Amino acid sequence: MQKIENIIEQQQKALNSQVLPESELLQTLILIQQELSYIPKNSISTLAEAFNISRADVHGVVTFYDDLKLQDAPSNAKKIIRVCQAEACQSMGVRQLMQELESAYPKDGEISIEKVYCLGNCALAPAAMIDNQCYGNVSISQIKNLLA
Amino acid sequence: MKKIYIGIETGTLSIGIKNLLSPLQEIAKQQNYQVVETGGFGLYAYEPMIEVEHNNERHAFTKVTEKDLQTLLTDNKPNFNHSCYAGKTQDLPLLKCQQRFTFRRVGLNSPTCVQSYQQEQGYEGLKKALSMEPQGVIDQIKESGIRGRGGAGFPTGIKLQTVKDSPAKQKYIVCNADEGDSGTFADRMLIEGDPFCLIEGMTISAKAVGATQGFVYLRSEYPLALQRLTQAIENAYQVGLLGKNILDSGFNFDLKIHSGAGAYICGEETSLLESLEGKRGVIRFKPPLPAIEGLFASPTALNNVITLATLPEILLQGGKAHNEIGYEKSKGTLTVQLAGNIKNGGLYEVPFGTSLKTVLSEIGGGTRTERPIKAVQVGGPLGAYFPEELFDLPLDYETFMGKGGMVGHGGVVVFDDTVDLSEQAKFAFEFCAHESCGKCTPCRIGSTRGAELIAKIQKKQDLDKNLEVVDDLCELMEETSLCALGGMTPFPVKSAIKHFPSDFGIK
Ligand SMILES: Cc1cc2nc3c(=O)[nH]c(=O)nc-3n(C[C@H](O)[C@H](O)[C@H](O)COP(=O)(O)O)c2cc1C
Ligand code: SF4
Ligand code: FES
Repeated sequence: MQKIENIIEQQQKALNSQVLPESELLQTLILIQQELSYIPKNSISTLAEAFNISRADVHGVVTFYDDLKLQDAPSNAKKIIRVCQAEACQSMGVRQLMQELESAYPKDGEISIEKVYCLGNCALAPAAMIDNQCYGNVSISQIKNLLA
Repeated sequence: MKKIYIGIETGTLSIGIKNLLSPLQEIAKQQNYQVVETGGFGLYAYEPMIEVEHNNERHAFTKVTEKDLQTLLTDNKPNFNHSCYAGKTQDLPLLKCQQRFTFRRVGLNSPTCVQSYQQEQGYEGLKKALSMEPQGVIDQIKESGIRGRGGAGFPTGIKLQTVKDSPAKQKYIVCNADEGDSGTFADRMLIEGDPFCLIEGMTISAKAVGATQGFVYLRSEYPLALQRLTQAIENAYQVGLLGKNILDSGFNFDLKIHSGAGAYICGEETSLLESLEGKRGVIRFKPPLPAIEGLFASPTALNNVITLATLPEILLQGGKAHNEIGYEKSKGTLTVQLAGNIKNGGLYEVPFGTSLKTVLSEIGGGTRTERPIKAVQVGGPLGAYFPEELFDLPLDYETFMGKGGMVGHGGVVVFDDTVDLSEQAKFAFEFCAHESCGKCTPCRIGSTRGAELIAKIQKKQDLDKNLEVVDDLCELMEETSLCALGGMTPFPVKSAIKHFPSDFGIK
């Protein structure tokens, strides 16, 4: 909670206003997600107050966007791999790759597999992303090395 | 000092070009060369590629490995006998077949250096615009015939005219850099490779309509683009190319980046505006048009990255020069992004009217799996699947519309003969279900039902009846959806069934 209050304070200073404008809600949530890797459920009312909007409004925004993960607590995952599921990657075998990945890394383990739709690396499909670094022409063995 | 060039962008980084960088710097130092990190050409058949300057010309070395680096230079000049040597850059076949208009600078120089940008005629277009009346700028854009490159192909000049003619205290320029279409990466390449070109284009657009504030809505999947654009904006402010009194003209323009958060629908213009306002990206009813009531209910000129980045060149060369390129009502160039199962994947800027066949066989070089091409999907996830019989089609907005598809943002995804088009049709419905903003029932619920129906068809359950229901569902979605997500999901579905009936068990 302290971190969230810091982010809110930081925004209040940057925008020079105690009540934050609703137009900054999404950008603030993105900051929180980056900082904590999730949006704590119990932060919704703090945010609603800071932006002077209803909790339902905040909740609505958080749940709309795939990047924002509303959770009670941080997940167990130490590393997240985002794998593109879209057409160019399908044409280069991502469906099979996903099966291999899912059997190599069970759910709720240390490695979390996220499905995303296009990483803009479609000429080098299949594509995946780990820690903001994109990888192209990926294979199961390469991913295992990267995550080891 | 003579230069060595290496393209550093998401694509090349994704195949490990970083590993070449420090050894290259070492070798360059020994032989008195300076390493320049460019934004890359997007020609992945050549990557990792390194260029060496010699007698003011650039010489290309392709498919370079760390081991190859050691012998790249001999006696302070390029080693022309090297097995990676591929001739002068300008003569590389995959570059020579293009007509780079919007992308003319991409790959040439350091993307965030203002001086390099200006050396290549950067900001000449804006200078012209600033010396003209706003209407004069719009007239040039109208004359150019440019249509929006984001997908819908709406004439840019008319959009800007509407914004200009809408009286308001505050107007906005918004750049759509959400690039959600699968198979596309032109916006990313442009921003990573020539961010000033986008900034200049937005400033020209601002001058034309009388806006003083701009926003770039950039998808979160593009961290390097964010970094480079942020840097370029900072640099532009420092030298007076953004902010107050730009180029001593008295014109003010501020520019800010907003990040997306992983929602495909936010690429649709009204959803994007909602998102920019910090809200859920739910589609707005039109009218009012964003050009009249857009961001914060003010007149807003919203355009795609490539549309905006083409404006500097249009102003520089004049609208007529742009109008002379292209085909029928599709003027200028299309940045074809060749993706998926194809050997020479990458970015190819070609005049509109070029046939799909030219792109696939002359440029593409066949599939990576060495199997025959069965289908291509053109124009992103809402684009149609085409069989070989239709590869003669010229890339042109109207032609593709006439065939139940679209050119869209120029993505071409290639599939070999192992693809099952019924899987692709099912995916189209699933994607729509996943990305639906939820406002209309046919899109929100219909898409889920559609995926279930295709699954039944795959199992040959009540084949005829279920095909008929899919057909009805498609018609309903096309006719009653508020936006093109629901309205065009039928394109990939219907084209797959029509052109590849045997994949659906139809005899
Ligand atoms: C579902 C959907 C997604 C879209 N995604 C994008 C996108 O990622 N980028 C884009 O420029 N336009 C996208 N568009 C088109 C925009 O609504 C809009 O037409 C375009 O940004 C206008 O700019 P232009 O005239 O320069 O093309 C999308 C449209 C729909 C219906
Ligand atoms: S068609 Fe789908 S995405 Fe578009 S407005 Fe309707 S529910 Fe939203
Ligand atoms: S479709 Fe996978 S990166 Fe674009």
